[in-house]
Amino acid sequence: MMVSMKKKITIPAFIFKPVYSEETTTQVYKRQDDIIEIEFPVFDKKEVLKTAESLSLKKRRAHDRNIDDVIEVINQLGALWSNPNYEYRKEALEILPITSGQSKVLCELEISNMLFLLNKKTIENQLFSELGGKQYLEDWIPKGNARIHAQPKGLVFHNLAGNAFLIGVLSLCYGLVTKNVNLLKLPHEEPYVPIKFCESIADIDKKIAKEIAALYWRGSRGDIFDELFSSGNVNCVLAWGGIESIEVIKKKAYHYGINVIDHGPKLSFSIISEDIFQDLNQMQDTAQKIAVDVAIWNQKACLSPRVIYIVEKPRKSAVFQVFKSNNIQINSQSSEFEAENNSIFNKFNQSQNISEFDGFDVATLMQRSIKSLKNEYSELSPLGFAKMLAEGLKNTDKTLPRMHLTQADGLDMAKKREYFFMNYGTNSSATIINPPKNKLDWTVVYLRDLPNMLEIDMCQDRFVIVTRISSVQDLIHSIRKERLQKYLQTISIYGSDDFVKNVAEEFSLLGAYRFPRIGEHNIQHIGMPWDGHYILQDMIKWVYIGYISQEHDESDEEQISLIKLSKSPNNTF
Amino acid sequence: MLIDDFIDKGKTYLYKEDQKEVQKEHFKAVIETTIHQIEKCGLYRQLCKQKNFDPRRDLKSVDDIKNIPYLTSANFKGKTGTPKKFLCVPESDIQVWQSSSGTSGDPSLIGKDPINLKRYVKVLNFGFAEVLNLDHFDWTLYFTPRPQKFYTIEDKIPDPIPSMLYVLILTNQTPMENRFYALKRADEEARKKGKIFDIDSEGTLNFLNSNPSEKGKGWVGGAIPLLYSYFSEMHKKTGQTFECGEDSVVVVGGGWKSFAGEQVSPEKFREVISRSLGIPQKNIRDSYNFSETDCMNPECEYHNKHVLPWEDIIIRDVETLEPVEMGETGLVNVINPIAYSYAGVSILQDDIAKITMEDNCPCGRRGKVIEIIGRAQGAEGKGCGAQLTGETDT
Ligand SMILES: [Zn+2]
Repeated sequence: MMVSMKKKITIPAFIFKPVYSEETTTQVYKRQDDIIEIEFPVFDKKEVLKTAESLSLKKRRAHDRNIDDVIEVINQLGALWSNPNYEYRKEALEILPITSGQSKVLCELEISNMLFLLNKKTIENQLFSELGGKQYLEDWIPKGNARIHAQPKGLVFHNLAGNAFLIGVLSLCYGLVTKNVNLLKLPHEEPYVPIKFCESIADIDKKIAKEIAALYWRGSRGDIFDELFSSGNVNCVLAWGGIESIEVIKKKAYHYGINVIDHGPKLSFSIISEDIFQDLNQMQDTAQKIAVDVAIWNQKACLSPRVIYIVEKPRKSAVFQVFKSNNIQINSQSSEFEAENNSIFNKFNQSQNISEFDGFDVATLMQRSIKSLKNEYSELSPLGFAKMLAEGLKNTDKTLPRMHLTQADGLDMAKKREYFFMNYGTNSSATIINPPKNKLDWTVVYLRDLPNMLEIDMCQDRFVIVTRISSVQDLIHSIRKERLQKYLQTISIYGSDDFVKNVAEEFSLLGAYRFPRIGEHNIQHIGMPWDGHYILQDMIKWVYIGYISQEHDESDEEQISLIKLSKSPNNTF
Repeated sequence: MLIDDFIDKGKTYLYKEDQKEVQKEHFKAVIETTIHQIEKCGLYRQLCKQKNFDPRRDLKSVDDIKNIPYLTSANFKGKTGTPKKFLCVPESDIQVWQSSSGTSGDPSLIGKDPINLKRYVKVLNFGFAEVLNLDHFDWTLYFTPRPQKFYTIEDKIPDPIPSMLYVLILTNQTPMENRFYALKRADEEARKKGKIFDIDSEGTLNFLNSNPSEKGKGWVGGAIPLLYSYFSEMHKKTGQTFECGEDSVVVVGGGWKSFAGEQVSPEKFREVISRSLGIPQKNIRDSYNFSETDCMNPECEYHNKHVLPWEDIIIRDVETLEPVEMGETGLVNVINPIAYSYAGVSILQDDIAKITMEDNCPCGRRGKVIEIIGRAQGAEGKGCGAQLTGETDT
């Protein structure tokens, strides 16, 4: 077992270099006997505005830097942090498990995933697929008769959130690679990681560090945001974080005509086709993959799956007739139907006396549909899947464990379980599966009905709902009813290619953006869009120079036209 | 019921050498109350069924008390919970809905009928008389506004009433002219700033300057941060002190966190209040009340918070919810056999505490002594990924 840790650290803010201030605030993280206190500076309006002002003066300098130099800095940053002996990394891996609630091995996994993005090759790939190549940031590149160029927006303001500790670093690196100067507002819950990466950057290149500021001021200080946006120094806002703070920032920024790229709260889940029930092994494998998706970030990232919707078409309630005819055989058109039902009736046969079957008398039993019987007595059912997912979470608890729960986390988990029991368990419309002795590490709830918004929101911190839908339309209807469209983000899908395409088509029209395969919630393909747009595109603006065409028609000269078609090999008349 | 006899023997039990016997009697009362609640409350019955708990079968020895299924406070929240579903009597029998004062926007509501209320007032008065040195008092100065109405235990109250206010009204037997209140409705200016009440400085000073000790023994009460900020400010500004009498008592509650979130130290608090009011430090006491129960944990003259005979407290690990050893901290599970009209025999509170001693407080009172650490803390940042419904300000 690990030795408990008590640690108090003081970190600076980063304004072109590490900076301390008189006023500080402290974030305390407490998990059982592990306590970490992080003390960091708090700034007031004057300093924030002054910082933005000096950053703003460096926009040209950032623009003029060679893109290869920028890429090299990020590449070195990635290399430094990839080294297990790097001091900052070693300290971060001591601290992060306690601040984030995820074990060291999980933090290492998340860090190495991100570091893959901070690599020369990857960055160049990304620039190629998102912008057409790094040269566009460097020069005016011919396109037909014109030349186009990707100019940085100028000063990018990153309003960071505390849920996924590496997002701030990525956000900053994207700002750098597009040649912007960057202002980061630290989240109170997680100021540590962005500061450490800024310090690393300063160790690599003091000059580029002078184009970065990462500091904290109180979120309640609306006046600071107002004056920051009205100063004219901020050109682009990346808003990570919770709903309320994003709404406030949007309103304020729009007021001054500043574009806000909204990375607010998102809802992600999985949809599984009923094909899954054809193969027990496939079910187990899928459940295990989802368990890993749940464990990474402890479901605190926007892309973490929260609910697993399994398609299972309703079937006719044929039990009654079957029993009446005293013939334990189902006459059905579909052979598949027969096979599945037979497996249930085999269990009836085994139990000899039907009236003793799990305490239900025959009359009650008959009133119930095959569907619900299947749910309860067959593994090849959504409930069966929920149990497999529970097994998967149990396994994942060993390979990618969480850290100790905080007091509030533990209480929260207990309350959520109790909620589902009180509201659904009491009328048998939910089954709650948790570790032995009611340990609070994870929970799977099998729910007969679709969860509402409040219930979906409870799915955090290794808490998953498995539920049944009779068709994809069911789910679309429920999402509309709960007004969740605008939150949709990642939906992982299990099923045939046609099924996947159909679901992606329906749900992208509804609002979702990413449709990875099951088990790949946390994998972002390089060069693919994020939340409907290309993240690097958000931080640049496309500009062009028009040239007088060398060869032109006589007739063209006579009439005035406001449209000119570029001449390029790909773009002919 | 057994618990009524038990309450009547409270004083004997509080000092009884053989606590094993007290525990045995207590256990019998707990069983009876548990059975009553399971029989009368459908939802609690279902919970017990799900946990496969049958009180007649599973409560064999005192140690089994920890197996009584607990309800969390969430069930009693007025908006998000279902307090009415946890009643054990018809709703029409409910005389008062007591609400928790807490800072949260969704206070708990506990419905009490005449039987429950009678017991409640009995154990409150017991705590005041036997532990807080308030067996009688001649005047009161509460740092609350004057109540609109002075309810008695017989009054049926239409709207939920904050517990603290209700307790201060019910237990106050002094003549009306000896009841003083330090708060008044805020004036126009202050109300614009969002204040509902304000300190009535003039009235309060008038009273304090009138040499209250001449009126006999008094009780100064209210919320800790309010008294603290008022008297420490006054000390800084004028250094003025008063004579409230050596016998008078300050009994406060509401937790030690100030409005700004800062912790007030108990020692500092006692020092400041004692100096200002001329009341000895040993008479300055805190009393903690768990919101969804009938229990109070009053401080003795050694400033130890006693668990009174009818109450039991089990501290549970925050990760497993299993009981922990004495001295370890965890979530508080209150066992409350007094609860009659609501299913509150076993409640898991949002508080973190530890049991610091058992049967050996130097004051001579037996039973457990509890130290309250605070509310459960450390809700992780719920940012981009998560919360679609509301968030905390950073
Ligand atoms: Zn004592």
